[in-house]
Amino acid sequence: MKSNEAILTVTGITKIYGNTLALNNVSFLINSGEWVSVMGPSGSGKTTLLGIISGIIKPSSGKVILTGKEITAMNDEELSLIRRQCIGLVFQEYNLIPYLTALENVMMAQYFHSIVDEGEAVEVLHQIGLAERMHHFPAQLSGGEQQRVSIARAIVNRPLLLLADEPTGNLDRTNAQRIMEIFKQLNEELGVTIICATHDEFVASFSHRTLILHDGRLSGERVR
Amino acid sequence: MNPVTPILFRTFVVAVLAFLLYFTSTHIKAISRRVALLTLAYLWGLLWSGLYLAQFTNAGYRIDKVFVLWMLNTFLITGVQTYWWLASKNKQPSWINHMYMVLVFVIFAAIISEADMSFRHLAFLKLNRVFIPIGHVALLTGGGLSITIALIITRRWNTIVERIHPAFPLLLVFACVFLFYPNVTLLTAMVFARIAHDVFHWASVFLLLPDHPYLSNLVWEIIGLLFKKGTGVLIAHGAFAILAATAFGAFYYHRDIPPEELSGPERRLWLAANMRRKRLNMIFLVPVFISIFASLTHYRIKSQAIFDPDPVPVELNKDGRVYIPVKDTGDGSMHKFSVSIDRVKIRFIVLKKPDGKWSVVLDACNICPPQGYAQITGALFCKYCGTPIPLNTVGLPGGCNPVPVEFHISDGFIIVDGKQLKNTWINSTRGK
Ligand SMILES: Nc1ncnc2c1ncn2[C@@H]1O[C@H](COP(=O)(O)OP(=O)(O)OP(=O)(O)O)[C@@H](O)[C@H]1O
Ligand SMILES: [Mg+2]
Repeated sequence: MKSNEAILTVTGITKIYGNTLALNNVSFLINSGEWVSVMGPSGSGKTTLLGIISGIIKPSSGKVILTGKEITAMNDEELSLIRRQCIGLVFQEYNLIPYLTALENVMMAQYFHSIVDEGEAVEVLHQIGLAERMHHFPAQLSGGEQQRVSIARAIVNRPLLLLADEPTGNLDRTNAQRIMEIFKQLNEELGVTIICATHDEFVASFSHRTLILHDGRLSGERVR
Repeated sequence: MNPVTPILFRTFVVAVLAFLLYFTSTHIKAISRRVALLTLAYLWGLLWSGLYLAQFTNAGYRIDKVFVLWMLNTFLITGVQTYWWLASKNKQPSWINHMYMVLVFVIFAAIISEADMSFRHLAFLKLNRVFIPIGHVALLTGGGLSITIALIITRRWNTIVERIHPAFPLLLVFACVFLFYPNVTLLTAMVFARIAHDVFHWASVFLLLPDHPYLSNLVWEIIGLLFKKGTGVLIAHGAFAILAATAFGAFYYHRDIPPEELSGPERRLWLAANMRRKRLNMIFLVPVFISIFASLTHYRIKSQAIFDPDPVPVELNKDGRVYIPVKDTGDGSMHKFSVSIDRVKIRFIVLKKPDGKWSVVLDACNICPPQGYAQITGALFCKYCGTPIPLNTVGLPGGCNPVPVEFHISDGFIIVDGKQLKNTWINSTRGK
């Protein structure tokens, strides 16, 4: 499903926290339907980069253009709109709402996007193999299951771009593999563009391309 | 003459002309239709504001206030027209557009029949021998302002404008008309009631049938209710409130079905947008009902300005005549007296008219039950049927005019013959 059409252009992004240079003049381009990993040691700026792409963090300088719209020039209102409609987020900590069931957690995302549709939410949970457990609360689910719920939540509004920050960080190999299978399915069948930050070579091996960050600099690139 | 006939006739002529203009222009080019619409809007604003202006100058209002009123007026009317035009551009005219035009024509026509005597006030105002085209200046300012604002709104808040159904600004215009032009409500209510009455009455006359024997007093009283000012206003407002509520209800509960090609999140987005659109339109309900309420309150307060004094009892003199001192009655408002002659209780009115002449009339007419008259600005009106009688015509016979009484003035007294007063009263109130 890869195409030669850039969905995301990152140009000269620099982010400075006090006297920490978290990102230093990072530029790259991602095509629609691509699956890209971002690797690098701890503190190299992966989380900061994903935060800037999703508009949660404002860069000190540089530009991010998503589907032709300049994210870095948007106000909060426009940002939250584009985040709701175009971007799905998955984190290492699953960030599920503890007093809502799996199904309700997914429906919450629908609510913030537009309106809820239970059938559709059930369908997505089905797709990631959690249909049996959808009425369970997060505390009653295993780590891998919780992460799958958070993926369901991220994809229920069919984002163009899925941003995942160490999605398998807390999971064992079996569960990590499972998550990767889901990503693969999303990427191949629905054409979702994926950017996944990780320091796990196994996880990176699923992607088309890997960007390597070192001390906030883009130091290399690997193509599978 | 039947007062409805000229109104109907002129209404008809104007309606025909306007429809010709509108419907022929739809067949030429979209652009010329728009020009025609805006021209009509302009004329409409001109007419309304001219009427308003005439009313206010007659009432001695200051010219700068009139100017502002005129401007606001054009602003309202041209603004909504322009908004509607911009919002519906690139679209086929829908039923609502046609309805809008019908509304314009109906009011246009109803008003023009009243307006012709005010037309000379329209374009120019004579101030210190200089003719000032104040109307045009005000129109250009108001119209220009409203078009500019409409343009800004449609550019800046385009997404919002697209979500507003034109029916709702239309309702708002109705409500504003109610608020700013209480006479329109009255006119609509009374014209319909009067047409109903006249059709029946004149049909009876035509068939040489007296209508009173087979339509009892009760029936006439019920019909008469519609002629009353207060009732007419209430009916018009109530009908409008019901119309507005129904329109909102129908709109809100109308089930919109998303396009079939949409599914999943896109379908949900469509539904959510639709919901927001409905909520946005519901906001119009608030000003519409505030306007109705304010208009009714305004009317209630205004109607308390009616002068309706209790009759002052007087005695018959030994010579069988009634003597009223001239100096007590010359202030321009009506003075009611009551006198008992042979156990018949008679009420009559003494009035110094604006033309300086005196009139003595019964507090009753030949048509209605003798509920008497009250005074408003520039007129008496019959408390039964609501017909206004301009002050200068008080003392002329016929219709719902108060029945004139013979009198003469000497030595500072208005002198009325008692026997004649009694006979006139008995003749005109018999059987009612
Ligand atoms: N809010 C903040 N305030 C100050 N410094 C920050 C902040 N967020 C991140 N940093 C610093 O910026 C640098 C990059 O951090 P970032 O979280 O992007 O790294 P990372 O590659 O995601 O690391 P890890 O693999 O441990 O998650 C680090 O040196 C971090 O200390
Ligand atoms: Mg991190």
